[in-house]
Amino acid sequence: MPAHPRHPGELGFTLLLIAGALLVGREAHRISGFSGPSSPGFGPLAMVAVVLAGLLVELARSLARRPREREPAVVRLRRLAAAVLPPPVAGAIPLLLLYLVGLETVGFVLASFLFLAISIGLLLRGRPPRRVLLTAVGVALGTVAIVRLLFQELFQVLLP
Amino acid sequence: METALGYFLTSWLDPHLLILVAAGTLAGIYIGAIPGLSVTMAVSILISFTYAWDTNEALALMVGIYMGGVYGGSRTAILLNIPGAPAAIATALDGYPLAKLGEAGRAIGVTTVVSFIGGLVGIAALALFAPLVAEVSLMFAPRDYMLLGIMGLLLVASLSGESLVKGIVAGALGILISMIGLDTMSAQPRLTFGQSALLGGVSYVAVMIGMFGIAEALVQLHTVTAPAVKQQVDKIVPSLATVLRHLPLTLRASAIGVWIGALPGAGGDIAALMAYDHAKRSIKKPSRPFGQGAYEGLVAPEAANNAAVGGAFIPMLTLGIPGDAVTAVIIAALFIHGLRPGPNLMTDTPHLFWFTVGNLTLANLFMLVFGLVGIRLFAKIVEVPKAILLPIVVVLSVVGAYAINNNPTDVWWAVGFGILGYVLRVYGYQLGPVVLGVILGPIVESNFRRTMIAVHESWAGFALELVSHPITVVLTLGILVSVLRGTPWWPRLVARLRRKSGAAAG
Repeated sequence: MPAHPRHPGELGFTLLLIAGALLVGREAHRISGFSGPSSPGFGPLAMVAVVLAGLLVELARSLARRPREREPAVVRLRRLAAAVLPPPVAGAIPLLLLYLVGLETVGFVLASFLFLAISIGLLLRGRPPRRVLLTAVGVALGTVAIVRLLFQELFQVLLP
Repeated sequence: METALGYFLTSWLDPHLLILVAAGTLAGIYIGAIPGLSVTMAVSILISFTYAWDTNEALALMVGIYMGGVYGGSRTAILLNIPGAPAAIATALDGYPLAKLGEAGRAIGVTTVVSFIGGLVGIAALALFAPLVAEVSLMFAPRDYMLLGIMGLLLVASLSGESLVKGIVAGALGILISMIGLDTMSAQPRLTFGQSALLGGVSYVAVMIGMFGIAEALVQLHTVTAPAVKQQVDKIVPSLATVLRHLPLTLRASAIGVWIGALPGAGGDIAALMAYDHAKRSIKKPSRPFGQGAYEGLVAPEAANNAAVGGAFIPMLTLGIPGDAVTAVIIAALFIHGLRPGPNLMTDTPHLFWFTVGNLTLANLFMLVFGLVGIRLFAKIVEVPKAILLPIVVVLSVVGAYAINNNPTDVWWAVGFGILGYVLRVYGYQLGPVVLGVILGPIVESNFRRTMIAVHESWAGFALELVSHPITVVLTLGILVSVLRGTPWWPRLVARLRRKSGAAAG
């Protein structure tokens, strides 16, 4: 039996993956049911079966691992947040999604500038504010200018 | 032969391509050296940028980045005990103790030269063996391609993470992603959940950019507060005597590198660890004990990981099966440029093969030059803090994802897969198998279905097919061993076999 305790959220994540796999399995079954092995639905069903079998093994392993001592829900949540969503990541994901929305609404140049300036500013916080502001704005401006020039001219790619 | 030489020298004689290989190698060395940036990440993002380019130009740049990147990872492994790339994990074991002893410059010098020699051995193996493998592969039936694909997935699943089961789940997930959209054989929609936007499938480049670019950036955010590193290095050109003393080990490690690199799915990281293990077993009197600054512990992994580059190109160019994650990405690049890697690539477009061999040789040469002289500028770029670097990686990933089809949906896919990939990584699922699954999925599935049609959908007929030809038998056994190795029975089986052979000998 594995000695180390369960990773925070491990059990929940495995169960979530199993639920997702079952959902994909239902969709895979709709393609051609359980017909012959050369039918278009066989591959997806077989892969869902492999994923499910693997996840069930992982679930059993998770359950076999020693759970942590009984802890208040707040402590458990805090531990989960520290392992999966530490502050930089917890901030980065919503910022990233806002950036994508910004790309479609205000355009590449402004959205990228704001994304870079805000994320660099946040990640550098704790240092002298004036320096952080200068670095964040400077790097954001420089990067957007270089990306625009370099990629549009040299790589000839269209920017979002 | 003359034409082959002409193709080989294409980049050597064309200043434009020459500059691209040089720029790629230099960029690769930096990218490899910056902890948090990986060669796979760079090549994944670059694919979409070079979409509008000529194939030769795109390949010249990518080959340079690959070669430079595998070597670049050793710098931070030696100086900071942080491998810049997975292929440099074994390098840190003796490289960092050497730096602590004040021999960082010498260690980097030795690393550079043995990486060059390893690289050359790998390229020579590619030039010699790829045409032979291509010839043999003309005899391959669909079942053999299916088995090769499965073997690649199993290898990468078993070698790249903490658990074989998680590796297999990740690989199967990749195959499932590749199945989204219209089925190529029956034109029936699959796994689209009734959404017409999914009929065209998910762009594999978006998956790669998400998994290797965005997910990696999110993982690196866990250590964003780590202070930027200062590096100081003195003399680095090693003496000829030092190089000659380690030459036999360099060549042996290179051979290991080529072999492991050529296995589908296993790349420079595994090659380096195996070569380190070989050095530990075979060298009775190392310069210092292993783990405390033995040059042998530096020479073996570094020669092996660069030799693995040439090795990884063998299955990629001859069979269309990626040797490792980077070659999986390069295969995607070839697809984008309308080329189909596989046995026909060697006969239909022989120039591409010799052109790649020429580029690899050139990149290897540039790696030696830049590695030995480009030290000052080098340190400055590596010192850039992650707080600045990671947001830039995200912006480049977004631009790259958009550039695939000039479609904002691809950006959303990349970010979606990035977030999924991040959570998977947090819970110990490696992303290499997912991406390999996306690339190998269609190969495995279409060849499985062809085989099944050929045996009239009979499972008994299918089982017979798996032992119907010597090549097929070898591949089937390879897969069985890969699976058995991940089970609790394997150690017992090995112990029993040892006891039997011991009893027989006694």
